[in-house]
Amino acid sequence: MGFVVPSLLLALVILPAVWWFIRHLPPAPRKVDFPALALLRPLDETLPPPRTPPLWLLILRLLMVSTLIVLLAEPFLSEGDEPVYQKAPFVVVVENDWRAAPYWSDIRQLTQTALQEAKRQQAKVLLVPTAEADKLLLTSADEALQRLEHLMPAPWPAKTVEAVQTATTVMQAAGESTANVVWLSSGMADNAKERGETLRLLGAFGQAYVYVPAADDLPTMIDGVKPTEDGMLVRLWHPARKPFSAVSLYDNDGRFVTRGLPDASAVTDKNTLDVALKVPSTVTGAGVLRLDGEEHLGAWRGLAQIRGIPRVGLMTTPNQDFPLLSGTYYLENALSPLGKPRQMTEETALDGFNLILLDHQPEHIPDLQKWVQQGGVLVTFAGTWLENNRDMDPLLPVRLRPRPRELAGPLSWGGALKVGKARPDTPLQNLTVPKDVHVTTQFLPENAPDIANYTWLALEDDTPLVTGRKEGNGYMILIHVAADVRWSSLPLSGFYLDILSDIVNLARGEADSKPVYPLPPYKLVDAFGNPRPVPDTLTVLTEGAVVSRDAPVGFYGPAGAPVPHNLNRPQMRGVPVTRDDLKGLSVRTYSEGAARIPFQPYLATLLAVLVVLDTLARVWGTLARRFGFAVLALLVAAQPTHAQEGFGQMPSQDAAYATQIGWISSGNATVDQITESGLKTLSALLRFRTTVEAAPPKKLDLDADDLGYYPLIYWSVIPNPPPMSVEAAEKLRHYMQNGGLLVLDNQTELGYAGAATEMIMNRIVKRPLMELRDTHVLGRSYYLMRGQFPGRVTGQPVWIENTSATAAVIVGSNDWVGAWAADENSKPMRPVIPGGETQRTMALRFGINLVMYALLGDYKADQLHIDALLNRIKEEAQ
Amino acid sequence: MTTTITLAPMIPLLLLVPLAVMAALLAVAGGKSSLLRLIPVTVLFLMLAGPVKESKTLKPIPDTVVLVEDASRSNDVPARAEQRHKIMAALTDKLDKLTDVDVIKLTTTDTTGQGSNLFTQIQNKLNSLPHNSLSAIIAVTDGELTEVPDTLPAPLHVVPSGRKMYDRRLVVHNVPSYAIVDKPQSITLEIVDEKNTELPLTVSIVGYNSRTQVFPTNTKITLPFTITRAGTTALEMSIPVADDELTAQNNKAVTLINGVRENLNVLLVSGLPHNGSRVLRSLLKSDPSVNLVHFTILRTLTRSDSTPDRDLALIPFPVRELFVEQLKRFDLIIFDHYIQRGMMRDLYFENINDYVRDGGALMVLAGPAYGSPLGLSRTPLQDILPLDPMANNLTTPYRAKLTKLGLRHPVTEIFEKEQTEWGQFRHQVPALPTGGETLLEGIKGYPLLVLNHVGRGRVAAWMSDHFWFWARGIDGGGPEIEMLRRLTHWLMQEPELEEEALTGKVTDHSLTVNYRSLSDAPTQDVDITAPRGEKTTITLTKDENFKAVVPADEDGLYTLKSSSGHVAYAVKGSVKDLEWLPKDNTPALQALAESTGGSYRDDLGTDPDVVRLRAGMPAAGAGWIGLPRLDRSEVTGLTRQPLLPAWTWLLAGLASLLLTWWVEGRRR
Repeated sequence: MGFVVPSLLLALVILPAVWWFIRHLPPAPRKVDFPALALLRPLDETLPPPRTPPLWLLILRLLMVSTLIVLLAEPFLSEGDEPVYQKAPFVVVVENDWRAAPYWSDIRQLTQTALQEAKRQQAKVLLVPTAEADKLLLTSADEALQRLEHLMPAPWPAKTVEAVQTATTVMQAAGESTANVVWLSSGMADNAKERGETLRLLGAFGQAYVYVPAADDLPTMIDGVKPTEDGMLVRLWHPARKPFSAVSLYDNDGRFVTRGLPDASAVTDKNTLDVALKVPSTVTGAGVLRLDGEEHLGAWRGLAQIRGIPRVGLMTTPNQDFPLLSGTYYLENALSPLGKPRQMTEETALDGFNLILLDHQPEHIPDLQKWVQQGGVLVTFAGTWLENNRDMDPLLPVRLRPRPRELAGPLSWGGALKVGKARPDTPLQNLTVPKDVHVTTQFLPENAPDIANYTWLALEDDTPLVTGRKEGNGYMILIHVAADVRWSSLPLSGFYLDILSDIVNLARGEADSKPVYPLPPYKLVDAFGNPRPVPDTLTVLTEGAVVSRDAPVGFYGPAGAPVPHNLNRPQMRGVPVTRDDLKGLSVRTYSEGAARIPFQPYLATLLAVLVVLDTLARVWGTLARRFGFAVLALLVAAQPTHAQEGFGQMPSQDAAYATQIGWISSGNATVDQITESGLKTLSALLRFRTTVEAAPPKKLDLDADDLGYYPLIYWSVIPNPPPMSVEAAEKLRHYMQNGGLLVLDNQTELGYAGAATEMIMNRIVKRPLMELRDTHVLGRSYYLMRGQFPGRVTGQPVWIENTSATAAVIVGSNDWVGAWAADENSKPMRPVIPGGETQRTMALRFGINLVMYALLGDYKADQLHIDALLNRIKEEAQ
Repeated sequence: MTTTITLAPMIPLLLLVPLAVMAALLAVAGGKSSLLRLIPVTVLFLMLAGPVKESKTLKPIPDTVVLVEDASRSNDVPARAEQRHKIMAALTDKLDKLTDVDVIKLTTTDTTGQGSNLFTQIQNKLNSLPHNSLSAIIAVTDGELTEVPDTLPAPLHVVPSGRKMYDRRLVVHNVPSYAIVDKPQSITLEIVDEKNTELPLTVSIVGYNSRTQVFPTNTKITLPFTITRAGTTALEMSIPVADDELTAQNNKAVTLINGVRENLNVLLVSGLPHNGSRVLRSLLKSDPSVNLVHFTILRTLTRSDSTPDRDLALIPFPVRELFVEQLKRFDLIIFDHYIQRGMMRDLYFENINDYVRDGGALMVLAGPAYGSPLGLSRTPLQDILPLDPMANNLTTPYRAKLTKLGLRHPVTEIFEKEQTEWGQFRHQVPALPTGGETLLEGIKGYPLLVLNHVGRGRVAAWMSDHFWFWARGIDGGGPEIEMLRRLTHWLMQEPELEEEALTGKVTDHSLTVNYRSLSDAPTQDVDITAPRGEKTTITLTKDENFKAVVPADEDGLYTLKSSSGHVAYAVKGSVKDLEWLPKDNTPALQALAESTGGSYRDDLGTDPDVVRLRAGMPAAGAGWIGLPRLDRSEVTGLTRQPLLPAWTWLLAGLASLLLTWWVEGRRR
């Protein structure tokens, strides 16, 4: 317990005088009644008022006066043991870069404590904020306290060594050789050298008191961001332990987009953790990543683009026998650094793709047209297939001549052409044009006066090599040469990669503009990662600038395409300051710090309440008479209640929260292994391809487990299945009755399981079956199955419950899990007969359909009627 | 230094204010006798509210004004330049007198090849200015700009220079950079004129044709044209110059269009199957860009054959279709070893003559029958063939040899060194040249290869059918492909093979002028007009192969004119964006000025006044334009201290309490 201004306590000596004063207030003037009226006076004369106020009022008032005095003396309570300071100036080093942000209230409080101590000792103070140490002055404690008022952590790195060096110089200049050094450390240094240097400089003054955060409290940082196909992978880094934070993504307008939850099982090294974020494809533009619960710049990262790697589809005709003769080979190669493109078939749904490379006659031109309108980027590669092809007109940016133009025949004049300049103001404007590429055949557009408006890249004779046109939200782009090497050497030059990179950016919704430096500031953030206004004195960001006071963290450039300016890796990371480093110094963690708890707010509140009470006491009588107790009720203000806001329930690995497929042991370990692995693959695929948050499958204990959690139960049936208790059978029946889906898979490989299945059907399932046709909604619940429901084998009929509602049982013998099963390296465990990988693909699609069917029932069947329904609603509304 | 009183409450205001209000309400509710209570309540709650004196030292930051002078070509015509200079001088003078603005002057030109991209240059400048420092932008421009942005960060005042002057002009909207040869192409343009509703427009494909047609003004015109040869063709469009207009510069537009040959449609008619036709055929077939229509006459009408037609793989020679209906679709017609056997009527040959005169190309390889009554020389084709053949044939071996002309002619000059190694031919039709250019000669100096210009078309004639020897390597062979290639493209009027030509080409910062002629004149003068109108004359000499390189730094169109009358153009920079395709962006500029809170002031004359304004006031008025004050300042010092020392509060608090208690006690 101490006082900042103890001298004022002297005023307490007047308390007895006040006591006396209150007790002996001069009497009120006496009322003298006219004697003649005395008789008329009622006889029950009230007692005269007491000469002295009641004791409680006396105490109240004395309490009031003493509270006032003590309050102004600024009392505080010391928590923990404060350092013992010598009689010397104070050097208070405050590391106020962004790394200090998480402990800022501690740092502030401890700084204040030290400064108040200096004030008490009337010692001089040198306050050294390491992030803005350009003007260091030895001042009075009061001035330092004032400066502290405005001190905030800075959103740029500190120059700790320089600051401490300057401080040393200032102290030497003032002729002070000893000092009380108080060092409020962020617990991190840029490098080991810096750490050593500062410690050496500090030690020179004598006793130093160092405060550091506990190693576990050090900030978790965003170490890197890697775009993935459905979002991004954010790598977290913690200097001392395994990080574990949720990552939130906000768009350019600060709206919450999505949150990625950490998965402790994700294996990386001991200081990092990868958190995956799924970004909806509708969201584009710049954004910000923040770590939940981490309020500092290391947990803030501006992104120029929040869309992940676009999904690229190939509509080509691969040539298995002569891969070098097919465009597919070159396109896959060109795209490989950008991600793996997917070979599409006519059945593949277009929705999931952002970019499609087309190199053969597509079947559904209107679908593609619609897809482009909705924002798809279609890149068509010319080829002989485009000859006399008027069908393709709606998908091409320009109308083509019927036949290609041959450039390099022995009789032609100009010969093969090189690539000319990329046109400005087109998405390819930043392309570096290779010098050694030759084009020998090219499709020319029909003459048109505005052809230049659609030409993105021309050959040296001004004829187009790449044309493009914005159509709806998407783009139609035509490469006027073939994807393979027959028309040009482009596929060999790496040029396709360059062109496609730019086009991929287009598909990401990224403005094609390379930022034009210098950039004006757009949005800045403070050291906590919160928005802050742009200071008037701040100028522009030059190219290659690193984060500093003149180029603080934030976004720069035009609002449409702001460029994030983040801390770079060395600025972000750093080395923790350990206790070993600080040997010989007096070290405390912030939680151990001796903070002074100021009493003023409590006493001030007490005083205010006492004033109210004293006033109330004075007017009580009047009030009670006038208004009764109603007033009192009014005086009692209801405390506002805050709604409890919390995190949404974390998806769990539990069937209760995530979709989990259950499976029943067949009684054979090998079969079980395949079943589990197959379902695992299916679950992973569901997570990967669909919105289903699928958890790994679960082996069911029919006697113990509650089956209701599982939308689908898979049972690989082999001859002589293990006996099932009556209760378990009843449970299964109950499961099916209540919306479950039981899939019985005859494992024909292990002998004829038909009898076993039949027994299960007769004893447990007891439901009528029909053969599954492609008209069934299961055939199009996610993928279009076209009448085939293959597994490891195919051709066997699949049976499904014959019901108008959603079926509860499916019986087949295609060994679906056999097709799905894969080992840890994602290598299939079983060969698929006879269809090979295509059949496996179909099998997996069927699996997804199964799960979708189990989850959604005949939802898809309803969708057929949705247009009619909407029309009817429209008509009725009119 | 500004001082303000703020609060540093000891307890949160959320708690303090209700308590204060409660105490005050109680004091008032207590009636007259308790009103005195308001004094200690006020004193104590004021103290708890912690009034502090905050002193800020502020340093005002001057505002920036960007003054832009559009010195692009369109604004540099004398009348406009004069007006512009006056306005600039007046503005500079007035801005210099303002002490609280930093004036940044920017002169924009179009030497970067982008036309008057005024706003791009402004934006680049703005990017280097401190944030929020811009008060206003003043632009002195004629409004002919390549682009106008949607918005600017500060009010834009436009003081037009020369906008009010009458100017008739040609505005090109869309110009293709290339055109497929012989396919109709078009250009869209507009004649802008305030006084006339229609004006004649002259369009010439330079060196080829020219036509004049009257068009309505102020509407978009689509002007069709057809390029007939590969390579660069200049298209020149012009409207008459009015006496009273601002400048004649924008009454003319020239654009260079690259003629692109798609594929070559060749009709080859072989009189009979022979080695030569086979070779020629495979030569032509070897090039995928050649669409070869080949007819070899296999059976004449006079021959008979009993095989039923359905068993014969023969098709009739569709003479009518080829030589009447489809003739114009061919780029080149080759008669090889042709013998007239009554299949082709004179009418068809006359059609070919017309086709050639109209720009077509014909090549003849004379067979032994050439000079005979069945030969081509007896058909109307003789009218365009520059040779008068004799009936006999020469068969002694000989080596083709370049004539004096051939050594200089662009088609054959490259063969000068190798001609001695050519394989020998063994057939020639002796003929006397009646015109044309004899490039090769054979036996006894009889012409072997003769070229001829016929109308707009061309003819090449070989007086031997042994061209194929070269291909087969007989006697060492010869350059059959290169020869055929060069001949074909000369026939196609390839500019590089022109006998008389003036060319100019700009690379980096130099203009290469090249003159080619078959004449013997030792010098040739060439006038060069630079984009901005500056004229120079250079003299090309034979010693330097009529070639010269001159510096060329300006972007735009260079016009070359030789004393022989040839005209050539060369362009530096992008053809599309040059300012000779002027765009009057005045309406957009006006809209922009208004939307930014600035003004478009064509009422200020050459002496506008400039005043400082409070932000939010209308930024322009009669005779002046306003620069809003941004009132920005930098905080250089900040101190806070309690309004009253603690002991003052103590005394005031105690005194007011005791006083109240005392008075209340007395009243009792």
